[in-house]
Amino acid sequence: MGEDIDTRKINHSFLRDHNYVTEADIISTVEFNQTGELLATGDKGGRVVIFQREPESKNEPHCQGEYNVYSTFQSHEPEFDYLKSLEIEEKINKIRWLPQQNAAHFLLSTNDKTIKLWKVSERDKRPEGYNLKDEEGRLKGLSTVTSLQVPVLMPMDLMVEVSPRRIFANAHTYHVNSISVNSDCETYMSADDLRINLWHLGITDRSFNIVDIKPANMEELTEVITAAEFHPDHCNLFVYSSSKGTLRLCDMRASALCDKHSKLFEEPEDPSNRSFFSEIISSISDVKFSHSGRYLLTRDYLTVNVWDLNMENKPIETYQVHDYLRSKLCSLYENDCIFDKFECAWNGTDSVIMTGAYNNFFRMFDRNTKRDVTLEASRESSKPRAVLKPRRVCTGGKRRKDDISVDSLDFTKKILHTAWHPAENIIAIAATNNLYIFQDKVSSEMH
Amino acid sequence: MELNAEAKRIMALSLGKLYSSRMHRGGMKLHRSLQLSLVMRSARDIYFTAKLESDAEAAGRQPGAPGEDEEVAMVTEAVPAQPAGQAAADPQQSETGTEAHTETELSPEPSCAPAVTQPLTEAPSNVPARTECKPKPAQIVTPADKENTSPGSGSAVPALASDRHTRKRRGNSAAEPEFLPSKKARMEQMKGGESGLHSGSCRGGVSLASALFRTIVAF
Repeated sequence: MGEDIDTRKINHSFLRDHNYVTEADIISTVEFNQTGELLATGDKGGRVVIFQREPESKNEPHCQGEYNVYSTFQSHEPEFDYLKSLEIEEKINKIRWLPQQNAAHFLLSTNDKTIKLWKVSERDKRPEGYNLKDEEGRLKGLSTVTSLQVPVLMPMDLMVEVSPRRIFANAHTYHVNSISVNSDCETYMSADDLRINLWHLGITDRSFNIVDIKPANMEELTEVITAAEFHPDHCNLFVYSSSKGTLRLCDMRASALCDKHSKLFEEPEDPSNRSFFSEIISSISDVKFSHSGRYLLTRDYLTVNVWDLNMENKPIETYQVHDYLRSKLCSLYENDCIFDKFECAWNGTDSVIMTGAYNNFFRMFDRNTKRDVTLEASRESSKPRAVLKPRRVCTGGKRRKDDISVDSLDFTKKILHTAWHPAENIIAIAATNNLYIFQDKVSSEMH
Repeated sequence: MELNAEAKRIMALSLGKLYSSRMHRGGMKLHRSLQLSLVMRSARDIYFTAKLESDAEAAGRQPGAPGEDEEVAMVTEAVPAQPAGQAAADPQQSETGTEAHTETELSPEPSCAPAVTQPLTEAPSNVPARTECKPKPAQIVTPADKENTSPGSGSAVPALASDRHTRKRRGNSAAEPEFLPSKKARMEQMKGGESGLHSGSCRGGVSLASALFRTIVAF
């Protein structure tokens, strides 16, 4: 990851940002597709914006591969559950792309209750020369038709059409927090606080419940499901994380209901770190399989952990994201920040992991060199083509110029959602209502 | 003692968060409510531990009047119990009545709020009356029932000893929820009344903590 840390080698292109301050524009999920050509974002207002990477131009090598808006559509609308007198938020919790199988692209988007399958297709030709309709589409009078013509496909301005192909509804009592497409490309799962359902992409009127941790007596509830993901290669394996800081690997071949895990990944709690808030900061907010399928990446409030699927008793690597907050948990509880759910991401080669933090900072950890860097996503520090400067939070001791003290961190600026291009060093960072895309370009002059 | 005050503060803070979470768009989040309840339990345990220590000291000095404490304790339990019932309302149930009842948590919620959570860690002083209050899961009070229950009417409510106490005291407690720190007078009253550790009278001291915990739900 030398190129990321070494600022001399980094050139970044800056994507337009949306300068709105309405809550509906707050980005709630970010996801690259499998090739990295498309980037989808979902927001609190239920909209999905898809960006497409421009093909690299030989004329302007520096303008290569910028992301521009490809399509925008309203995925979910606010709904009202009359039975429970509850409003169902339209906020997009997750977007997952399906592997591309033909010219069209498909993605799944979900809010708290309903998952939708969207088809994104391009239209760049349209038929002209109809016999019965004129150019505006009005029916011609039959008496005016004196000869027959064959309609011809004529080029037109590129139009991106998005249409809902499936709506998977009424399967979740609790709030959906994750969706994950299976490697078989036929099924996917959706997870809420207490249950995980398996769907077939073609069938909307039923799903199979594969995990159910709801206790018979709700008073005995001790943990909830916080995230779930299918293994990238083995279509029978999936993992789900809990609010107690545990991970469970389940094998769907073992039984229809995977309440009994195949492997349980849990690190014993360090008794010296006990506080009022120990339990809630150990809650895992995100889990991601590595691209290789060998490792798991988890994020809890203060750390990111890498787990080896072959070792259940502790993670193989632990990285402190912002340990200086450990002494401030009470204040973070008061301002609700302690409940923030940060996501994490692998790079394409599984050598670097990334996660967000406060003050619009995000952190990257190189697993090989053990180096880490803190960068900031903000308009002030990110002019187009500017090099991102590493930031430091000073925690007492020697303070350098440009260091930020813990007390001056802005906790309203949090980076919860980040994504890494599957193959290249391009990252997408959602900072409240702004999307930043950083690309890493190694200059040809550099060795 | 600072720990005690801190624990109390955190409990009150958590309770406030729990109530306000019901106003959130999209309904209560189960995960968040669970986390709030875990914090409250930690705070309660610490408060309880500290309280026991101070009670042990005070026991030698001031033998108090158990009866009054018990009654107060009952009220304290019953008072937050309704919000527990409300908060506990499964997403499967309608919560139409919840907003209306947020502030009226003092109405006598039936049978110690059927949805009251049994503390995950039992308080050492397990008073028999409290055991009676243990809700059966089937007894979850729906908002519809609450709407039908008028203050003072005894017919809809199972006649448990605690309820009689609850209804009797409701007038006073209607002024302000007792679990908030501002009720210093009552806290001191309960403190003054501490005697044994394992007798029913001790409930006055632990009731606040356990009562607060009970508000956290069973969903």
